[in-house]
Parts: sequence; C-alpha cells; structure tokens
Amino acid sequence: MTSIELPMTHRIIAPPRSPLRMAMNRFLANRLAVLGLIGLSFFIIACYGTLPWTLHTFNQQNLPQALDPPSWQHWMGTDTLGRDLLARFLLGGAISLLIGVFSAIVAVGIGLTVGLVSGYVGGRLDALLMRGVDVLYGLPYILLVILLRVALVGRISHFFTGIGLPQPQGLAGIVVLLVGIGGVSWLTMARVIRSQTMSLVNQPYVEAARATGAKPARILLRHILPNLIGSVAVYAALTVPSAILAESFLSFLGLGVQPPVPTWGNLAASGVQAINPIHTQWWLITWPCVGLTLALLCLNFLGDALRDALDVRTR
Amino acid sequence: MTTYIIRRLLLMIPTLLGMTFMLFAVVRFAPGLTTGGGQFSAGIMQSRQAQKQEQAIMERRLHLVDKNGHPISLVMQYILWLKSTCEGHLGTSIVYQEPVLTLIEQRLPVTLTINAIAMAVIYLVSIPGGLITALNQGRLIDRGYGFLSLALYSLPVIWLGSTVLGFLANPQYFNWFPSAGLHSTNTANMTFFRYIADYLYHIVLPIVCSVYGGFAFLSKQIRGSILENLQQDYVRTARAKGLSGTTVLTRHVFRNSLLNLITLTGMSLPGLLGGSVIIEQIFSINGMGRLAYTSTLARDLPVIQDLALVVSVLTLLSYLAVDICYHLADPRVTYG
Repeated sequence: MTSIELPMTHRIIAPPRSPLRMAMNRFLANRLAVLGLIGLSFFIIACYGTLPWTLHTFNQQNLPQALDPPSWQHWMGTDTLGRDLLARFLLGGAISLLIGVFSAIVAVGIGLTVGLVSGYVGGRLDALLMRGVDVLYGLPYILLVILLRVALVGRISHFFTGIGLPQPQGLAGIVVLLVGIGGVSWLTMARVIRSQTMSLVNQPYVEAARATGAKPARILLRHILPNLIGSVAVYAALTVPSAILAESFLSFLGLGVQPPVPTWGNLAASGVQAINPIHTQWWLITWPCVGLTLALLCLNFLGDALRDALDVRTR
Repeated sequence: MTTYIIRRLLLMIPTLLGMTFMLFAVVRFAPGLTTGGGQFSAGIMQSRQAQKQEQAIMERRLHLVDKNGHPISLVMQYILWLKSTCEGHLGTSIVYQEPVLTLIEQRLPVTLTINAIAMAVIYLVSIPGGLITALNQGRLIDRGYGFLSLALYSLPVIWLGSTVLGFLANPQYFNWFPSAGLHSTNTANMTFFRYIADYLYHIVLPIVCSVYGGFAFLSKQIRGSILENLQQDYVRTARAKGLSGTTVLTRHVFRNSLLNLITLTGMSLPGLLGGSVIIEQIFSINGMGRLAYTSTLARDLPVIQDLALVVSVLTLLSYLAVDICYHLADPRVTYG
C-alpha cells in the first residue's frame, strides 16, 4: 500500500506534454517500430559504411571462382561471373534505399502540391485534378512507369551527353526510374492531403489569417502545411518501401537499374534464373531477397507505427 | 437518380478526353514504332525496300504522317485517332495482326476471374481478421495478426512467386502444381465440374501469390473503422437499452463499418481489370497485364492506346457503380 503515493505526486508535477511529445511516446511504446528502427539503422550503417570497399569490388570478375557457394573468402558466395556477392549485396542495398528515398521525395513533392492546390482552390480545378487521380488509379502503375521510361530515357540521356556527364545512358535510366516511380506513387498522398486541406481551410485560424490580409501562398505554407506534417511523414514513410518494391518489379521485367550496377531488385531478378531443374544456386536468390524482405519489413513497421502515432483517425 | 446517372455519364466525357490525350501524348512521345511481325513469322525475308514501304504504310495508317509523308502535329494526330475511334474503328494490333477488341475479349475474362477470386479470398480473411483484432485490441492475437500480415505484405512477390514455382511445380522437387497455363491439354473431353476443378487447380499458385500481400491494408482499415464506430454514442445507447453485445456488433457497429468498406472496395475495383504484370509474367498467364506489358515493349501503338481507352472507360463506370451502391447501402446519401 505504500508504493502508490509517489506516482501520484509525480504526475501532478510533470509538465504538460506537447502533441509531438505524445506522438513520440506512442511511437516508442510500439516495440515493432523500435525493432524496425534498429533494423533499418543496421542496414544503413552496413550498406553505406562499406561503400569505399564495395565500390571497388562490386564489379571485379574472377571467372575461375564463378558460382562458388558461401565460404570464408566470399561470405555470400559468388555470382556467374565470380563477383563477390557480399559486395554486390551491400552496394545494391545502398542503391535500393536511395531509390526508395528519392522516389518518395518526388512523390511527396507532387502529391503535396496537387493535394494542397486542389483542396485550397476547390471548384473546377479540384474536380479536374481529382478525376485525373481517379483514372491514374485505374491504370496499372507498372505500365505507366514503363511508358515514361520508354518515352524519356533517350531524351534525358541525350541531354546528359550534351552537358557532359559520364555514363549518360545509365544515369538517365536511374533518373527516369526515380521520376517514374515517384510520378505514379503520389496518388494516395494527394487524396489524403486534399481532404485534410479542405477541412483545415474552414478553421477559424485560417479565416483569421485571411482577415489579416495574408496571401494564399502564406496561408498554405505557414498555416495549413504545418498541420499536415503528420500525414506527409506517414505517407512518405510508406512510399519508401513501395518504391523499393516497384524497382524490384521493374528489374524483374528487365526495366529497372541496368547491370552491372546492382540493386536488391536486379540481384533478386537475376537470382530467379538460378532456380532451375539442373543445379540450384540458392545463394544467388536467397541473400538479395532476404535483404529486400527484411528492409521492407523494417520500413513497413516504421511507417505503420508512424501512422498509428500521428494519424488521428486510426488511433 | 436517373438524372444523376445521366449527368455522371456526361461528366465522364471530358475526363476520358483528358485521360486519353495524356496517354496518347506519352505513347507518341516515345520514339520508335513496330512494323508488322506477321511477315517475319510467315518466313518471308523482306528487303530493306519492302521494310521501308511497310513502315510508311503503317505510319500513314496510324496518322503519324499525312498522304504526302509530312509529319502531323500531336494534337491533329489525336483528333484523327479520336475520330476513327468514335466511328467505331478500334485499332488492329501490329504484332498480333488481330483487332485489339478481339485481344481484349480473349484476355479480360482470364484476368477478371483470377482477380475476382483473389479479391474474394482477401475479403474473406480480412473482414473476420479486422473484426477479431478490433475486439481484442492490444492483446496478443491483435499484435500477432498485425505482425504476420505486415510480414506477408513485405515479402516480395517475385521471390515467393518464383520460389513456389521453382519448388512446388518442379519435377525435381515437388511436382504438386502445374507450372504454367490455365488448363490441362485434354479439356475437350472433360465434364463441366471436372473442367472447373482443373481450372481451379491451375490457378492455386497465382491466387496464393496475388492474395498474400493484400491482408495487411484491408484488415487494418476494417479494424480502424470498427474501433472508431465502437466509440460512438449510438453504441453506448444501444448497450444502455440492453441489447446484447453480439446484436450491437452485428446490427450497429458492423453495418456502419461496411460503409467504409464500400469506398475501399470501389477504389480497388479498377485494379481488377488491370491484372498484375508480375504474376501473369511469372506464371505465364495470358491476361490483360501481360498484353499491356508486351505491347508496350514492342511499341504496338494501337494496342496501348485502345487498351488505355477501354481500361479508362471501365474504371470510370466502376466508380459510378460504387456511388450507386453507396446510395443503396446508406439511404442518407442523396444525389442532387
């Protein structure tokens, strides 16, 4: 009976907690989220910390050692050209994560702009933009990426050659991939931001801002946008894994980042061919897919926990 | 209601125009054009001259150039395409040498059945799943289900798909399932039920692969909307007047959560038509996704354009159907 007196006084003295603080506590209370965060940090450190080594070795061929199973010398084994799979795995992870993050940035940029404008302006522009979003939802998104790729790669690589960048073809492929994946991943984001903007526009404080003569741009950026940060963070976090997955699909179809540059997607895609009736080289498909799955799992745990912590609706 | 439907149908026209023009522009923006593959498969080697001639004919037929061989502007190309489409002339595939409509008629049923079955399976698992997790919020079963469904969602389908194909449909390991196609070779002398069973046996693996990732999102949404409804005042009223827990759940909470479900279903309906490129590619199913994919790669312009048109029309129609269903499910929703 003596043990309950301290918490009571403690609770009264504790300062009032901000919404951010409360959200953070909810996030940290979610054990899966913390696990995801730790796992992701591990991947980031492993993939980016080893860059000096992997950038040198990822394309070093050693034909006599081709298709060696995992050993002390090559922890993950070697591929068909005798390249060390560990180096390719780590560099592939670094590139895959980069693709995920940059596609998410593109998606957030488009989705936020369309959602804000559509929700704030309303009327015909809103109807037009939202019908566009409706129909884009209907088309298979992989197809749109492929179309954009086919349409743009030549032009962009021509442009890169013009300004004198090295390896214009490969670089153009990656740029188009980022723009393409980002360019089809913004739809959900735009819808969510639009509906939230519409409800925020009618809030008294927005009206007050308008009464003081604030311009629409200022209202949008200083008054409405800060209130949307939660949703933006949630959907950005959920876009990263789906973009990484989209890259792996495209690689499977032979349209992703082109070898010899590795990503988890194209390593897995080339590993798929290793499953055959004659002799199965399990390590070729297992490692990249395990990496892909674990990273996606960590990212999805994070995104899910962020949604639980920040999204008012599903709390 | 009729006025509403007619107005919605009319509103579809500008949407369709904008949509098709956008796709049209992207498709035509891409360089290159395929010329008849039919001649090559017939085994006739063409001279360079003949190839050039064929290219010219094709360009004229697709309205890329006018009669004198001068290039036509993009907007004009679009208007010409629109005109011939409105007159009922859908294109003819260059690669398959068949009308696009025939190709779609062959492939749409395939994709539609597989997707419909997959969707039914997803709902059959997710609705009870969402209900149970909502009622046991925070308990082991809730957390376990959440973990498991997210884990499944994170599993890349290219891995699972090719692994099950490589091990469960492989004479060297387990020869349990067929590795490709949708029918056995001797379908002609099968009874109807035997035929259906054979079909189901062939689509087990594709269905498994298209289903397993879908539980996470839907269950989570259902769980969320049930939890939201449970906190409403009307639930407290219903409890207070002495209704049993089950009645409150089935008659009040679940029914109101269904409204949310209709919106979700409506948003996923267009996905039924599209078909998954990856799954159709892994399991060698000739569906819509694969048709779209191969014709995009082959730059088969007529197919891409008309496919986009058909998918857009069907998409918009399904959105309309959802709005009507919404009205039927919730009489409070009215349309002016």
